[in-house]
Amino acid sequence: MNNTWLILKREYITRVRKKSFIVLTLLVPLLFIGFIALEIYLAAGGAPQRLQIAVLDKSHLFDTLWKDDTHFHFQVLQQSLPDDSLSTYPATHGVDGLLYIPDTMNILKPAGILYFSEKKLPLENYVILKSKLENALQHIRLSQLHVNMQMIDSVKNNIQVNIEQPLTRASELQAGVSIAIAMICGFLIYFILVFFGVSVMRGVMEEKVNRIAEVIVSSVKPFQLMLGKIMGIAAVGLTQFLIWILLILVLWGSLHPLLPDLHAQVQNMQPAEVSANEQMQMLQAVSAELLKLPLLEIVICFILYFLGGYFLYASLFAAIGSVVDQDASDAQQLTFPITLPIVISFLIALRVARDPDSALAVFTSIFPFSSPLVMVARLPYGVPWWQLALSLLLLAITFLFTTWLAAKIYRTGILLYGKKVTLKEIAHWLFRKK
Amino acid sequence: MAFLSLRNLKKYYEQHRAVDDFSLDMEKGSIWGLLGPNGAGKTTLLRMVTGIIFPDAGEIIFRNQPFDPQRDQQRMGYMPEERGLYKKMPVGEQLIYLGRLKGLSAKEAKTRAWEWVQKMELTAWWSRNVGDLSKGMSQKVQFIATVLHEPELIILDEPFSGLDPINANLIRDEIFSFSKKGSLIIFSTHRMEQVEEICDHIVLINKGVKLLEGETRRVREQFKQQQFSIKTYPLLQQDDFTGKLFTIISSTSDRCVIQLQENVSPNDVLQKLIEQGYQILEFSELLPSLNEIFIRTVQQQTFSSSIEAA
Repeated sequence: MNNTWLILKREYITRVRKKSFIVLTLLVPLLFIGFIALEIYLAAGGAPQRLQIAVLDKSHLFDTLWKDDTHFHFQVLQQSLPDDSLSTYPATHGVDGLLYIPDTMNILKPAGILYFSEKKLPLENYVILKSKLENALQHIRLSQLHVNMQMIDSVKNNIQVNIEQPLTRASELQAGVSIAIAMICGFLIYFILVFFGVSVMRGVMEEKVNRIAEVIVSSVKPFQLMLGKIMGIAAVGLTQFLIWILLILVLWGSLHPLLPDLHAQVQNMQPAEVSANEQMQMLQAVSAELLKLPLLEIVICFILYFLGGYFLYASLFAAIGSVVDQDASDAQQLTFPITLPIVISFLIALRVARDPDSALAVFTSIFPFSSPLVMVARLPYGVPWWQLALSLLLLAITFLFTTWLAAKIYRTGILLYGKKVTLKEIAHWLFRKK
Repeated sequence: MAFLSLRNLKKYYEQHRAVDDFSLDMEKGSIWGLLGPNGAGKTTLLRMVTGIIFPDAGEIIFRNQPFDPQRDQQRMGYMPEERGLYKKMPVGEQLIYLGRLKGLSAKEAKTRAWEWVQKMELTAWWSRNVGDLSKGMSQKVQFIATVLHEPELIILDEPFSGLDPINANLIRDEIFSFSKKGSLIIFSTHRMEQVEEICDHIVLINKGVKLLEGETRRVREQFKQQQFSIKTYPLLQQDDFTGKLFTIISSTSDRCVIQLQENVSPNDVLQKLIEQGYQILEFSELLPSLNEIFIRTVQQQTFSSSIEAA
């Protein structure tokens, strides 16, 4: 046990000291925060663009429409222009564009509205302008039918309906939050299994190719060497995650003062229907939903499945690393049968994140080779305790089994040089007694 | 009872018998040379003795007890043929790590590693990565790692390959001093002149079978073929004796190698030569080199096994 500890420590220290570890550990939170900030910034479309637009409304249907707002500054032209000068008007008069509404405009068949500009109308402004015109048309049509606008308003008012499902846990918002959490967890586990599994394999290959393995196993049992390596890399992974979480929290905290600005931008872009207040309420509702989830249970189970899945797959990766000999293509060929179930489970997890109680979801979240990925995706929705217990039990049994299996392959493989190992030989190693 | 006793060791792989019924007793303080052609089973044998692999049959008795890798590995040091160190780990740290795996405390490992690094003139490299070292230097590091815990049993697979004469001497002297302190040293090599120089015992193995064992001196005696080098004036000619006492195997400008006939003693030859009026300037017995013994024995085995097969 003491030796395993020494090996674990060496593995941990050498990996944590590497430049690549430090860079990756610092870079990921920065990228993460940067990505979110960028997302918000892009969603806000940067500063909203306020366009100077000249309006030539020959139909005079929209005379009351041209009020300046955050997106537009309208300049209504009183005199008509010759048709051939329309296209050059924005350039010669220093405005962003010219909106032309012909006198043939028909409220029942609105057509022929033109916008002249060198620059394309930004999507946001386009949408807003379009809805302004459509709304105005609607009003005109309604008033022509002598419909009282107040009646219309009272009909529209408070018409939003929420169908609540008190027995099945999920409001629409809650479902959204759950899907997000499920996907993030599934993706993290996927990333851990592949990234750290391959790290283990590389480490084993390196020791084998370097021949250091032979020196070490003259001091310790091969099993201890393998276990020390696997646990060392697990410790590195946990450290990395811990630092990431801490850094993200700290960065988020320090960025927070800047956020109201961003929120303000988000509000500005929204068509007038969504008020600033509603935005804030939305955010609060999301965090409230987040807190309603069984967070502690999720975190604990996440760590359990992280460890279980990692040990299960990492030991298999170690066995493969011990069998291949320098040849990278061999390694690829042999890792395929191991990465395949991980990838399939990940795809299932993405689906399960939307449909957590299907038969497929229940089965794959108990089956040990897929449970680490699928079960974490089910967690936010709540999982019956017997399924959770069964799944964890099977996972534990399976990882003990694969570790035992891998140790048998590893012990022989690590001392075998310059020889291509066949599956038949590996099977032979498994079934002999000593 | 012997310090290390190998009894009927067997290790069979699917295609061949790597080690087949091999027995040997070895005492403390001796230096054994394990000789054999490529693929003879030397490495397999050494790996069994170090506990890296297990014999299919037979047993290893170490210090009067059946060999138990868990307990006994700390008393042995093994330097494999293909050297292995972590390339991206500093020399000092690496030595301390390997020493600790052999049961030394952190402090002790550090003190000893530093002493050895001084002895081997590697102090400037203490905190450099092993990958930056020349082949000879990393070999010295590997040797230090093998003996840092002062093992009672030291196993060296081709310890001198790639070392210049100065460093080879440095390591040879350390091997001698460990032997004086009472350690048993086993090393395998193809280089016969090193074995003649260093080993007091040899064992010859081919195709997994022991062909020959014993004290180096005795083995050579055993294989002597009544050959002598003789320098006379005038130079001996074959015609003079018509093969009654000896035949001349080869001659140079001033001396010959002669082969005595059966039941002829060196004195008979000398007496006869003196009678004949030869001046005898030099007369010495020729012992076969280990190289010759090696080749002769291996060929003989190949020959007899091919007869068997026929």
